[in-house]
Formats: sequence, C-alpha cells, structure tokens
Amino acid sequence: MNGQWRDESGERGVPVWRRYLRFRGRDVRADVADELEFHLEMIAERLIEQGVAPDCARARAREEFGDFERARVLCEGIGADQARRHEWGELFDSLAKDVQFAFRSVRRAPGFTATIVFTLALGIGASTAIFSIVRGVLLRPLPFAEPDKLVRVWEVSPRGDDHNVVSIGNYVSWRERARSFSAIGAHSAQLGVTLVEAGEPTRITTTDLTPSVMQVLGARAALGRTFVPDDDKGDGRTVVLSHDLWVRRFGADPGIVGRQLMINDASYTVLGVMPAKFEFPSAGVDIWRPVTADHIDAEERRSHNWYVVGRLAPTASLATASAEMRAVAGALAREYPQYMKGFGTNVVSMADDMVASVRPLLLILLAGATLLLVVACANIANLLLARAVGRRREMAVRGALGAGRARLVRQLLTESIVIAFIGGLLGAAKAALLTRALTMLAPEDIPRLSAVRIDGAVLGYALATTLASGLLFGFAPAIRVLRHRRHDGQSLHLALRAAGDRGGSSRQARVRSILLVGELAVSLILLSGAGLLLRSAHRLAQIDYGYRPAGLVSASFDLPRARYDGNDRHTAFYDQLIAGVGELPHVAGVAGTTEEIGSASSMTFSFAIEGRPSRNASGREDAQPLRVVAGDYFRVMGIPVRRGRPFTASDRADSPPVAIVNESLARLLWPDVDPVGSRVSFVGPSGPWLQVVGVVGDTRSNAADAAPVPAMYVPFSQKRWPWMTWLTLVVRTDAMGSPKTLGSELRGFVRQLDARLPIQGVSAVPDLYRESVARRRFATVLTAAFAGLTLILGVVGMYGVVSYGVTQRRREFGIRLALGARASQVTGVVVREALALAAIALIVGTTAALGLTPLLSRLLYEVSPRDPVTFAAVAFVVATVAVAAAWLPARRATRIDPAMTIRDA
Amino acid sequence: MARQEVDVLQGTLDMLVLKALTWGRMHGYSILAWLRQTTDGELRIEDAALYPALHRMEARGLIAAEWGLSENNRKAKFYRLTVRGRRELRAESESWTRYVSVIGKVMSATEQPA
Repeated sequence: MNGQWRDESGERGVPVWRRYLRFRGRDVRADVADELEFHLEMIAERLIEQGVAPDCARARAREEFGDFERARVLCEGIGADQARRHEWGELFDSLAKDVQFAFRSVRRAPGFTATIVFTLALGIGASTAIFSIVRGVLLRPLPFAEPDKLVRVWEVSPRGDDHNVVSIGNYVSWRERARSFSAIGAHSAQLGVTLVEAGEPTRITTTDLTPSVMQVLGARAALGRTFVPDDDKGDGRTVVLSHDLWVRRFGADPGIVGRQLMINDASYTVLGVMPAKFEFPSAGVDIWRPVTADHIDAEERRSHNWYVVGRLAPTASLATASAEMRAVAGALAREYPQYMKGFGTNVVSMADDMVASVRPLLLILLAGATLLLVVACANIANLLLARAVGRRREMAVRGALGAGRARLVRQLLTESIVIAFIGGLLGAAKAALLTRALTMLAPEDIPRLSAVRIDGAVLGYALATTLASGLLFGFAPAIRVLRHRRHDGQSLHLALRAAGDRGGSSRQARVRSILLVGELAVSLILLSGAGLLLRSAHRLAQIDYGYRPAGLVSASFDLPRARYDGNDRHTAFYDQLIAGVGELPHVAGVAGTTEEIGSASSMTFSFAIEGRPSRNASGREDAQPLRVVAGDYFRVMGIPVRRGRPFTASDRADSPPVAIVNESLARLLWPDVDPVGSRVSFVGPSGPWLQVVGVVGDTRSNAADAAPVPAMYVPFSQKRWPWMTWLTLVVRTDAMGSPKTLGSELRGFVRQLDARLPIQGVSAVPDLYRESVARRRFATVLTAAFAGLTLILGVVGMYGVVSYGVTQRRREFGIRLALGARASQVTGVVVREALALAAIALIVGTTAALGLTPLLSRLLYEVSPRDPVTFAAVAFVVATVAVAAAWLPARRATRIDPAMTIRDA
Repeated sequence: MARQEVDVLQGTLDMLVLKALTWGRMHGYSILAWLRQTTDGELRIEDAALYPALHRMEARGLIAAEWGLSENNRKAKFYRLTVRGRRELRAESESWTRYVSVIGKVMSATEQPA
C-alpha cells in the first residue's frame, strides 16, 4: 500500500479543481471536515469488514476516533492562522511585484513620466511651501510655557475698537481685582533707544515690561537670569538682552552678565540673555527693561499706551475670564465715569490675537496653492487617460492571461502612486527652496515667520498630498479598466483590433472633457483673484499721495534728553542740521517732521477751538493727529498750500504761536467757515491760543492704501513738549542724489555736530510705503503665479484633449476633406468644439469666482471683488488662450490625407 | 487488544509521524495504520490526537499536504515529508537514540553507588 504512494511529485490523482483551489486560498473549515470525515469512513469500513453491522458502524467509528470536536476545532484554528499568514505574504509579494512593474513601465516612457512628475512637483511643491508657512504662523504653538493659557487683555473703547491699548491705571486695577489670572503683566510698544558701546552709537529696540510679564510667559534666561517679581523695586536700571543682540553686538561674550551698558545716556546692569527662540512681543526686540513700581502711576487713566498679557489661572477659561473682566470694567466705569465711561474689555487667546490679521491672507494663499495642485492632478489624469488608450492592448493581454479586474486596477493605481512619489519627492525638495524664498519675500509684519520651517508635520502634509494626488489622478484610468473589463468574453479580440486604430470610447472623451472644463474653471477662479489684486496694485501705483514722494530721502534722529534738555536746544540742533544738510551736494531742500512716514501710528492731541463749546468734559475736541514740522516743510514735501500761508522762518519760539490744518481737518471741524484766523488751544477753552494761519492739502503719509486723515501742523520751533526729541529729516534730492550717497554724506556731517548721535536709518521715502503694501504685494505675486501656472496647465490640457479628438476623428475629417470641405471648415468644427468647452468652463468658473472673490475684499484697494472689467478681461484671456490651444491641433486636421485615413481603416 | 498498551510519550508522536512519512505520501488513516501495524498495536495513539499534530507540522513546514484520491477512490488529504521535515526527523531520532541509551545505562546499572 505504501509503494503506490511513493511518487513524490504528487501530481497523479489530484483533481485539477482542487489544485486550483489550493492556490486561490482555501476554505479551512470544509477542508478539515473533509479530512476527518474520510478518516471516520475508513474506520467504519474496517469495522464492517470485521463484521459490525453497517448501521452502527459509523457510531462505533466515531467512538473509536476519540474527541472528534476537539480535533476539529484545533485543526481549524491552526488552518485559519496559516491561511492568514499566507494571505499577507501573498499580498506583500504581489505589492512588491506591482511596484517593480510600475518602475519598469515608468522607465519605458521617460518623457511622459517626466512631464507628469514635473507637473506634480509643481503642485505639491507650491502647496507644501504655503502649508509650511501656515503651519509655522498659524498652527505651531507659541514658544512659551503652556501657551494655550496665555491671553491678551484689551480695552474696548466707546467707539467700539476692541483692541484699544490699555491705560496703566486700568492695568493696575485689573491686576488688583481680577482673579482669573495666575499672573498678569503690562508692556510698552517697541521703542527705539540708543546703545553706546565702545564709543559707537547704535539704535536698538526695547520693550519695557512689568517684571511679572516674564512670569506670565514662563520665560527662562539662557544666561544669567530674567526679571523676577522683586525687580519691581528699585530704579529699574537693569536690562535683559536678546540672544540676537548678545551675539551681534557682544560676540556672544559669556561674561556679559553684570556688565554696565550705556542706554540713552544712562547706565544699565545686564541681568541675563534670553534664549534665541524667545521673541516678545514680536521678532526684532533687542532688550527688555523693567517697569518698576515707582514708574507706575495708578491714577493715570487718560493715556492709553500699555499692552496687557495674562496667564489664565488653572481654574479659569477664556469665557470665565471674559465674564470676570466685563464685571471689572463695569465697576471701573462707575468709579471713574469721566475717564472710563463706555469702556469695556476684551480677553483674547494670545496665539489667536497674534495671527488674527494674517489668517485670511494665508488661508487664501493655501487655497490658491491647493487649487493649483488640483489642476495639476486633473492634467495628469488627462495625460494618463490618453496614455491608457495606447495601453489598451497591454491591459487586454494581461487580462486574458488571467489578471483579474481588481488586479489590473491595483496595478494602475500602484503605477500612479509610484509616479506620485517621485513627484512628491521632487515637490518636497522644491518646497524646501520655496519656503526659504517665501519667508524672505513675505511682508515683515507677518508674525512668527521665524517659526516657519520644514518639520515632521510639513513632510506629513507633503506625503498626504502625494498619496491623495496619486489616488486622484490614478482613479480615472483605473475606472476605465473596470469599464472595459465588463464585457470580458470578447474583449481581448476586440481590444487587440481596436488598439490598432488607437481610438477611445466616447465615454472616455467625455471624462477628459469634464476634467478639462474643471481645469479651465479653476484657472479662471485664480485668474480672477489675481486680476483683482493686480488691478488694486495698479490703482495703488496711481495714487495721488498729496505730495511728491519720488526723490525724497528720509533720515530719522532722536536727541538724548540727558544732553539735549529743553525745546530750545532741540530747535537749535535741528535748525543747524537742516541748514547744514541743505549745503550738501544734490540736495534741493531739507525739512523735518515728527510724523513716521509709511507707518500707521500717529501722535494725536486733543484741542479746544476758541469760542466753541465742546461735547467733551475736558472742553477739547476729540484727539486728532498732530505733525510737528521744521524748515520749509510744505515746499520740500510738495504739499500745496490751499489758503493762508505756510510756516516761515519768522515763526519762532518767541513769536505768536501758529498752526496749519489740512483740508480734511478743515472739513471736519470748520465745515462752513474758513479756519484761517480762528484760534485753537491744546490746553483748554481758556487758551493759550495758537492762530490757524493756513490750510494745506491732504497727504497719504501713513499708508498708500489708507484714506488721508485729518491733521494739524505746528512749527517745531514753537513746540512746548520737551519730550518730543525726535525728528525725521526729509531731503529733496536732485536726479543725481541717492539714499546711499546722501546717507554717507549725512553721517559725516552729523558726526561733526555730535559724534555720539546715531542716524536711525536712511531710506528713500517711496520705500517707506513698501511695508504698508507688502501683504497685498505678497498675495498678488503668489496668486498671479498660481493663476499663471494653472492657465499653462489648462492650455496643455486643452491642447491634449483637442489633439486627441482630432486623432480620433481622422477618418471623419478625411472623408469631409475628400468630399470637398474647405480647410477652414474643418478647422472651424474643431475650434468650435473647443470653444464650447471653454464656454462651459467660463460659466462654471465665473460663477464660482463671483462667489469666492469677496473673500479677497480685505486685500483689494478701490476695486470691487466683483469688478466687471476684471471678470470680462479674465474671461476674454481664458477664451482666447483656449482657442489658441485648440487651433494648433485643428490645423493638423486639415493636413489629413483622405486616401491614407480611409486605407488605414 | 489483549496486551497492555503503552501511551505514546508527549512529543514523540511528531517523530513517529515523520518516520511514517519517510515511506512516501500517506493520508492520516494510513499513517495510523502503519504505526499500529509496526508496533503490533502495543502503542496507544488516539485517532483524534493525530490530526492536530499533522496540522501543526504542516504549519511548521515539516510536512506538506495535498488533496488526492485514496486507494478506494475517495477524496483524501495526503501528507509528505518536506526537506525541513527530513532534517527534523534526523535530529529527533538522533537525540531519541541517545536518550534511550543514556536512560538504558542507568536502568540497567548493576553496580551500587561507591
């Protein structure tokens, strides 16, 4: 009996269906049952041979076998385990094969693959780069301890400004009354101060803060120490340095702690150095000085110039803190009605507060980049579909050789994903470069740009977009295979024949057309956005500033009060400076102003008008911007004098005080009368008085995109505020003058006057506006780039779809031409069809764009987000470009040789 | 079944099955039949215990299985030795022989402790 089975090959006697089943995965339960059943039968047979009655043989066999159930369960368990392991192994094997195969087929078509890879890298690179900025600015937690507990507390002004800067008296009241905060502190805005180190003066930036701010932030020094609550006492002559200043100015000297520094002509002791990543309240602060108890006037509630930060107590939330602060504000309004009436408070999470203003900008850019990626995917899907036609023969053969439908789909998807990964790698590399470029191009006022880097989350985003795009553009060709395999039986034969005439189904043509319409529509959306932004930029460039910024150079100074005490000395110094600079070569005129050109901040004063009762308790009008100017200011700036006279050299400290108003202020406060001749007072309704001597034109000196504000001008020589020590020189240069040459001449001249006085930056005045338009320009440049790229992709897509259609209809065109159709008629047919597609895209895209562009409105300037001119122009561009892209392949249709096509068929 | 039967020792069943399969492919019933015939029925092996052992060894790759037709034309599952199984059998039978001889030495010892 054994000899019979010695054949080791095991081929004999095994039914084919069973062998096949072994490969197709097994039914474990059935196999175990079959096997044990056979055993029982064998026992039963033997028993019958031994004389047992057939009816009870089976039961006896079962008895003899032993615990049947247990054996069955054990065997099934083992079998199921093995089957699972087997399946996984098979899956990995076939995946590895798919990937290998994908690489081979990718290598077979290098040009095609390169096109796809670059298109994809474009999309992934752009969206990843923008995401890295979004992540750094919007998503990464603040670099402080428990950052989600940090809040900013603002006043809400009676006018409804919910980010009103806080008065120090209010801060003190809040600190005493509010229980929601485990720590609370106040700090100043960034202030420029002069550091004299080794005889060399430099301008640095400080933020003065109550020592408690460091407790709020949970900040630790990298070297030495930071402020502790006890630093609240004493004279406050201590300082903590930023890491950057320590490296830049002191060569990272480890012995810096304890040294004395001369800041604004006073001596400060260095307590410590902060870590490099410590930026507060924003990047670019060089030192922090303590505000001590002696410097806090708890009764001061009029001037609002402090910023308050708090750390929520463990039991408090944003909501409970807001509620408590509302109650506190209510109490304060009752106790100090003359100052606090109508004031509320606003508690905001610090992270949100920091980035609230840039969030829309960044999200718009992220949307733009994502749309670009989607268009790239649609384009790739189109290319793959076109190629799928060429691969019908391959698919048909593979199908006939036994590859299942799922197998072929998986193969195609694997191919797409392999291509996507190559594109993704390239895209990630591109993103790394782009991110660096973008952070340099980005407006400086975007907070937290220093937190932008390529990290795990960014790479994760790149990976996710890569996978998603691979699936997205791999889907269309894969679906096609599914369709085709539906009529399996005859498909090989048909496909092999059909592959000869390189045709495709009409369904496929429709899919490609839909993809193309989508591409063009998205491109239209982006173009509309870019068009609106460009039109804003154009409007901005044509703005009438109210003066002539071109050819003006500015240079700012600030006199140290220790050495320049009193208004007379300020006037004397600046008079000398203006006279001297006027003698420099290429200088046509010099003047000075206290205004910060190109900055939104302004100095405001309230004043009374003679003979006119005021609504306010103080007897003065609401505060208005005041510009204190020196020299022949209006002539040098090019500001027209509308009525009365400008300031002259005879408006001296001892002559009658004068003032000039601009047209906006005149309209606001003297709507019916000529302001010239009326008198105003900064003190109150009983004088002392300044006589208004002239009205001048409005200027857009704050920002190009902000409407001119009302302003009053007074001569520097008559100023009565000894703390007003700074002045910005405005120098009108001739064609030969430049900020650079003027800067060095200026430095030389100032050194003669005062060797320890620094110049705080020399720049061309038009450049000062860069900052105010930087965000808009950033958005414009990027949106235009995204839009341009999608348009190019759309053109390529259109070209592809039309040439595909022409190839497909070669016979038809051949016959038409043979029957005497003119070339222009054939071209017309093709172009008309392309135009029809473009028209659908125009309708879809314009409708979508009209819905989306209002999101841009904050970035637009004097252009409606639904500006008809822009939309018409964009539609025209898209239509023209689409027709042009269709025309080239259409021309090819006319060159078809009728004889050839008919013979081919 | 008049003679007293010996229970198969834990762990030795695998070795016996492997040995049986050195004769060629067999289904479970014929493996048992051969074992019983060779031991003159002196070794007690439960039919039910055989199958989990077979399946375990199949999972370990010591034996391979395939479906075929039995001598009486029925569908049966046949097992055969794999290369690994053959190696396993060699190792097992060597260590078994040594074990038996060592234990034998002790059990047949005649000298009392010094």
